[in-house]
Amino acid sequence: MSIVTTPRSVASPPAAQTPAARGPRRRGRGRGLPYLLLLPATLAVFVTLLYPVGSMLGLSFQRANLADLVTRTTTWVGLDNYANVLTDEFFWTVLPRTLAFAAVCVALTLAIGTVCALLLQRASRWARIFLSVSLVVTWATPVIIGAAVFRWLFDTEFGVINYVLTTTGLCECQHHSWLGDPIGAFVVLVAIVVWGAVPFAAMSIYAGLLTVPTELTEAARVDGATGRRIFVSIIFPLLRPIYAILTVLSVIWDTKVFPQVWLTTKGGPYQGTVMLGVYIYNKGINNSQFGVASTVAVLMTIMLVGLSWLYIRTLRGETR
Amino acid sequence: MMKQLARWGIAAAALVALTAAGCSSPEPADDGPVTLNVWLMKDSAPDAVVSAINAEFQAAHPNVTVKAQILDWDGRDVKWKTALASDNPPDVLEMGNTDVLAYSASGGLADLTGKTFENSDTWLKGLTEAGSYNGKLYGVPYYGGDRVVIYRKDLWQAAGLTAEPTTLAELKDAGAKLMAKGGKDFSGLYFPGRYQYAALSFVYDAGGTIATQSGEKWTAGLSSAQAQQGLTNWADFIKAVSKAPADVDEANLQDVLGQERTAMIIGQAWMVGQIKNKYPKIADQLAAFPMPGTQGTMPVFLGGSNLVSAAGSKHPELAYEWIKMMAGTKYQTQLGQAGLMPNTTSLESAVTGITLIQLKAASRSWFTPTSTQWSNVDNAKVLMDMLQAIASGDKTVAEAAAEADQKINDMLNAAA
Amino acid sequence: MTARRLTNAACLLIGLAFLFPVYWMASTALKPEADIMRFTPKFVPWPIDWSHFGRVLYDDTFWGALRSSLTVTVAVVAAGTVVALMASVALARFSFRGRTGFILALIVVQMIPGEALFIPYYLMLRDVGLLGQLPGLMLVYLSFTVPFTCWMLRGFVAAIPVELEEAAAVDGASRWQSFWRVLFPLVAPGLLATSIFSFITAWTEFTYAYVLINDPANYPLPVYIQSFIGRNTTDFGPQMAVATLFTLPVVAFFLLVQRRAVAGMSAGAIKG
Repeated sequence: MSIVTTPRSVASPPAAQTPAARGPRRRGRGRGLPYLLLLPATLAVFVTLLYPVGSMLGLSFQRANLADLVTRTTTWVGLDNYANVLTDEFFWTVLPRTLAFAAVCVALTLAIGTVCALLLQRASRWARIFLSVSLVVTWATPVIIGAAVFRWLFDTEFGVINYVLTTTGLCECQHHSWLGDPIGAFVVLVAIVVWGAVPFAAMSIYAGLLTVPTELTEAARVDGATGRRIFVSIIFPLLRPIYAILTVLSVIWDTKVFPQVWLTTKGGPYQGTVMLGVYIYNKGINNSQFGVASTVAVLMTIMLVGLSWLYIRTLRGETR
Repeated sequence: MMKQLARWGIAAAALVALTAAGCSSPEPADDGPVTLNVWLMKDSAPDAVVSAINAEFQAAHPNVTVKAQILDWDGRDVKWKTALASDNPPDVLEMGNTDVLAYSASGGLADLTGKTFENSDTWLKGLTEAGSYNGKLYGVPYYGGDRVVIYRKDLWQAAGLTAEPTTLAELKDAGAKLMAKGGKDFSGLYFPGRYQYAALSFVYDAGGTIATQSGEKWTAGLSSAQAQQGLTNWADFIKAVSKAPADVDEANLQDVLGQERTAMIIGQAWMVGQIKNKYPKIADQLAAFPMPGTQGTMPVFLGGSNLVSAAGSKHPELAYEWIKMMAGTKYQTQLGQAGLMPNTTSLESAVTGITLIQLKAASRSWFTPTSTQWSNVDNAKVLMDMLQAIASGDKTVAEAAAEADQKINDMLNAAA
Repeated sequence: MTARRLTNAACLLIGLAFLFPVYWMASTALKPEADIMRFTPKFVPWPIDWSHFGRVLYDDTFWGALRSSLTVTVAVVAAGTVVALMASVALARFSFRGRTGFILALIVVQMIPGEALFIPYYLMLRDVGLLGQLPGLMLVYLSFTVPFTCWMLRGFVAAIPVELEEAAAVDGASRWQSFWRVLFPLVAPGLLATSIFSFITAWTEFTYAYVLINDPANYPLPVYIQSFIGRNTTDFGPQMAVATLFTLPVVAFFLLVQRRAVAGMSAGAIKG
């Protein structure tokens, strides 16, 4: 995908990337206009979400099991749910596990995404088209199918991976069980998540690369800088906003990860791949403890806000 | 106030959106035109039987239209839980017998105690147990399913085996013999480690049980001497006759048999049908016998489905009539002829072939603990993990059983 | 030069690695039933068996699901893009009270895990009378996609120099004209990117569709795909056939619009 944004002149400093420099004006005219423009979005998002999110918040203070739901009774339990969750040993296993998993996925996604973006920029036309089409096709494959196919590829008995590894002599992996132990299962899960996440990252970074003025890189090259030096000192700082957004988004998405885990391992084996998304689903839908599930969801949201605090603060700084 | 705002906002959004299906109309009383919503599960009763019963029901109740919907097994919990909480829940639902209990305890299902059903005194025990809670009947037995040993006659004869085994020891020998003859990746009886419904039969065969209830308290029993003996029997058995991996479950048994990687599997009648379609080469060579135990046939896990009615259903009488019809002799016979196991032992004459063998084996059956919290244990895969640990050698029988017991005790005795 | 060759080779390898699972999906759809689940995997579907595609294409349920999916997705993408564009212009070009709060709220809203909201959403739609119908689902999807789209577009709009619009205003263009003639073409690639995101989100979502729609005739494609998972086994052949058909529109949409966007882009850049 060749996204070309307005070319930046060399003269404007990198800070021109941030919107703050191009401050909004029109303070006096059409005062009602921004609010009017925001109205549909407000309706579509906040009004719609008001009830469910409020309800979720409320449910986190209630017992809310299946009987309560069916008979429409409300049983308030105060902070019991919170106490239960925060003293649950399993919760404290799941939480760090989720964060570690997300960290690995984000790192790999950004790294591979950067490599792909650089390749896209430098390749011949046919190669670039081939790679971009591959990435888009990957992106277009729904998560549920991707997970099903990966699970199958890594199957112990019928899987292609085992077959290829054995026939190429890389290892005696004929009945190697990937999903039979938590470590192997994590390898598969990381593969699925990263596979699905790289296309978006690669395309975004590539779009950003296209906005880097060639004069800058040319000048640096003439001065004798190596490719790596150019990337680190020139390109990366210019693309920082893009990386920032990608990181925040990836952290959010990879922490919330659910369908891939559920469809592949259902949290097993030995509950070793249960992460927060699966934990919430188990508590809520499987065990019918909707109150507790809501509590975990609230905690998770708070945690994600905390994790993104740095980015949020930067945002507040630049829009002030 | 909030609702008002929401209504406006949503009305506006809806105006922008394209049209969708028609709105649901309010349900009038039982003598006006009525729609009876029946939710059945996929891969259950054949379409022909469902069409037949609906036709007969509609003929008997001219103002009623039966709307049968087929649900997928995957995601059924979400669907049921939200439906039961709605204003217009389905009138009749089919639920897997391991699913019913939790819903019975929630108050979401109609109490069917005291209503008359045909053959109710000869219903299969496992199905009736699954559908009852606190002495009341919520789920009417629909059809059953259990497992028998399916084997290849040609390989059997080629190995010099003549009679079908009647004891576990005989089966073990036969399996070992077949495995030795078969070559590298060949199993005598392909028995994957996570095949819990087949593996736990060994526990019951040795006189053990998963958990028992006294009063309000549940006590897990896998660490008992008998249960451990059963698990040890199982571990020895699979080591002697199977090359299946420890971390796999029973999802693809028919493919293993069809691609000639084993001489026997523990399976159900529908698997034979599938094998005949996919692998016609061995289709004629398949036969079955009940799984032998140490004292007669091994107790089988009785699976199957029950029919329930939502407590909030607008047409409880009609729902009861429909259930009564489906659970009655006429349609149970049709189900039997289609290869499903009818809900009563009195209909043996209706079934043939492997289904008959299954029905006979059902006389010695076991069922998972009838606790409303059991589905938590199931969803956490406690038993499957225990079996996998034993089969792979990661833990000893004693260790794995103790760990599973602790989890089961915690989960079953947790507050609802 | 060898550097270029290496780069091309790397593109090829990485592309193939990403494509393999998709290839596996498509080739499974073409394999005869007995070839699908084999101990020794068959990499090339031969003989080609069209029966899985046939079964799907002759199934009325498939066409119904396709119709539902298209209805919902097109509505969500169209409405969502318009809504988000309006909002992002407001956020990037105006200064007003509550602006920072609004942006923060957009970000925070994306952090709420969807699994906890099934029941609350269900109850809300029930109370408002939109349960079981496609507009209810559209609303739910809008609430998912608009925050992200807004946030992204805000960045795109903010990155476009305001001087361009000011110059147009000086030349006598009305506010609407300066938006349509100057801003819109420049923000088009951003619109493309975010609309693809909305498209994929609405097109592939499963659980909410399953829970919030009652009538099987209205189930969108992801639910139809899941229906091939049986109690005991999965019917991979037809399932992968549907998956292949499912993926095609997205790829087609992307390839089609991409050229337009690039053309529009270069024109806009020249003008700017």
